Amino acid sequence: MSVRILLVEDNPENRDMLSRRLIRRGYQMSFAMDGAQAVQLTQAELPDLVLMDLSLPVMDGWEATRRLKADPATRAIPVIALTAHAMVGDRERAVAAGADDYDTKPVDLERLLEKIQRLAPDPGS
Amino acid sequence: MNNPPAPLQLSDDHQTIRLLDLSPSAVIIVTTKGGEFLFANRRAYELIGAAQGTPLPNTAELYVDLDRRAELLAKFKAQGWLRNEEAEFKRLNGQANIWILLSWERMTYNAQSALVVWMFDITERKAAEAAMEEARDLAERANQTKAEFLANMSHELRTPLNAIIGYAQILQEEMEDSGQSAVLPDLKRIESAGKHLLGLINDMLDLSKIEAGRMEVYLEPVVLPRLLDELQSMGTQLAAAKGNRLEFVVPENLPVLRTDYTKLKQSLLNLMSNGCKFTENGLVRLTVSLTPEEVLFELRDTGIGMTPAQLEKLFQAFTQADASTTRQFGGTGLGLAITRRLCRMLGGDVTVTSTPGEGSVFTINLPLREEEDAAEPPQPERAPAAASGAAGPLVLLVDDDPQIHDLIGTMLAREGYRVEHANGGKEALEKARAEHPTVILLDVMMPQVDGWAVLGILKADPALKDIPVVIVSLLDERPLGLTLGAAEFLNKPVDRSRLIDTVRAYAGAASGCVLVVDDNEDDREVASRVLEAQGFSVASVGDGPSALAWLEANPVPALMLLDLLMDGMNGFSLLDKIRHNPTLRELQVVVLSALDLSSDDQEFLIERGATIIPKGPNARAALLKALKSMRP
Repeated sequence: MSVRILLVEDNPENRDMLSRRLIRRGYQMSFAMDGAQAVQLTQAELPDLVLMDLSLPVMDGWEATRRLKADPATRAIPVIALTAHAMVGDRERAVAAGADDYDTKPVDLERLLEKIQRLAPDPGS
Repeated sequence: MNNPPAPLQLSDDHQTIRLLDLSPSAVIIVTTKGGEFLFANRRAYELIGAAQGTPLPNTAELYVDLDRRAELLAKFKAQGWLRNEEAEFKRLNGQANIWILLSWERMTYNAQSALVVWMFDITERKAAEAAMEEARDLAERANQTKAEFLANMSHELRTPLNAIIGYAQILQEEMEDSGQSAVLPDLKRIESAGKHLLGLINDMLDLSKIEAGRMEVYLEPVVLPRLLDELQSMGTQLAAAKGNRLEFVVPENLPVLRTDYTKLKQSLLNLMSNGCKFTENGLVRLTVSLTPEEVLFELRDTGIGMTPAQLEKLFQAFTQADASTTRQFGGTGLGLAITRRLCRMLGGDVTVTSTPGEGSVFTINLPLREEEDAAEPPQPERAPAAASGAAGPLVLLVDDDPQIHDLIGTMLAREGYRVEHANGGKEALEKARAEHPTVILLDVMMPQVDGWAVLGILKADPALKDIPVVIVSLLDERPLGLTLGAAEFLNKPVDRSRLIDTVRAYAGAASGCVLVVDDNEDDREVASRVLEAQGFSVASVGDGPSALAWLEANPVPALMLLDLLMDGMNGFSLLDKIRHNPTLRELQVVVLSALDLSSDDQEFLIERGATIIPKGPNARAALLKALKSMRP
């Protein structure tokens, strides 16, 4: 069983790029376009890890993360917050919302892979 | 037109009086104490806008702002004179108001006590001041707009750039896989040009944020060896590009700094990449040293160096040593300007010495500050405190079975709820009235007053009818319960998560549970009291193995408060064990320690995600602060 990742990202190009690269490395991907969908899909699919963009329509990534971390059923699923802002304070806000780790976009794939590997180790490797 | 002859008290010299009367700029007026004109020179008539020699109104009528007049009178009364006070006057001929500078003095005029007033027209000066103020406001607004524009623009620029870099990378990977390596160098060029552009945009964004005062400093404990490791791995590649050797000279026992990790790293990385950029086949060496007050980071290179003239404008924005440098070496010329501003934001600075042809030495100095006396700049907004000082919601548990009290009471307490117990219907009603709980858990089958009766009385009492009642019963009487006004009906035996979900739905989430691990009973007691006052429920154990057993048997608490010095398994090994357990990886740990920690120990704890609070007079405040910053 490969590691299942839910990618929450509203920008179609970003979604496409990141997922293609992760699929190539053997991850099984599913997608959500906004925070509300992210919460719903996480609860339904219980993925091994969530990659969460923070600026999202409908419900932002901070709120979605807070909800996932407040729900006993999804609390243990690691969340890596991703943001393009690279603003100081984003990291703190993401961590305060309960995100397990944080990275900036554009994604440095090697660094992100390390974080994914650490939070959701591949049982096969 | 003839003015009254000058009184003897002033002067016999009529010529002097004449001069005063003819003064083209100075306004001289004499009035009674009530403000009636006794004398006004020609300039006064001009200024007031009246024909020479015509009767003048009371001075009170000239003031635009009567409050200002009252203010001046009060001041005059208090000190007996006025000097160079500003006021706005109306003009009798209806022309635009004028601003004047006025001075008052008491005098005797024609044998009556009077007031002499000197005035000076400052209308033009005031207009210039107002124009300047307006220009300044305008400039500030423009600057603000510019900063916002830059911030937004950089974001807009980065989004497509993100796609350019990303797809260049994907194509490289996919082409490599399919063996089409001929296109790889071109794709690599697209990627590196994109990354270069991204670096420039980031620099511009940083600088504009600093200039607009929107860059925040985030102080945190910084373990230097970790930061330096990170720099070394980033720097190796930088150095290799031009055949440079990168050396780090780092002393043992560096203290844990309290500073902004990201900004310090950015500053050092900047100096390091400059050193590597302007040096070829040479040496770039970072030396860290300590003085009693400061930590110094010295970056020495054996590169091209700079002349005194070049050094002078080195830290200015958009200025490299000269224009040809940009062509030869690239870069925005923003790096050092940013570095200097960042270092100053951290309470230090960056300085430089250099010899052309021999190399440069850049030195960053940062204050060694203790946690307590660090002058903290405003912290970025944190999540609101879980409990904001209030106690957790109160649940009234009504049952005649002591085992149920034990069982459900523990479940609720573990979630951070306060629990009040009632063993029968009568007691339940008394406690409901006295304590006004947030939610009531009610058993039905009880001797004397049974649950149905209690429910009926509760729902009939206007003061109590709004308290949600959850019936917990062996009976399957859900429809009856809901008809009688119960909010929810749960069957015994109680399913823990259903119970908690239900209570949470009606009482809101509680602050959660804190596990206190300390071998000293007094310390446990003190910590428990502090935590309970914040609305947490507290479980406490006296040693490591008990802590592990508790964690095994219970849901993950919101926080663990950990003492380091304990017999048997000490706090360090307990923490290490916890971090190796996947379910406890997220557990927040606050270490409360009387130990004077070595930097190794601190590093050990920080690496394992613990927050360190020294025992002592400030411990309580520090603990409260940690609780506040805790994730909800």
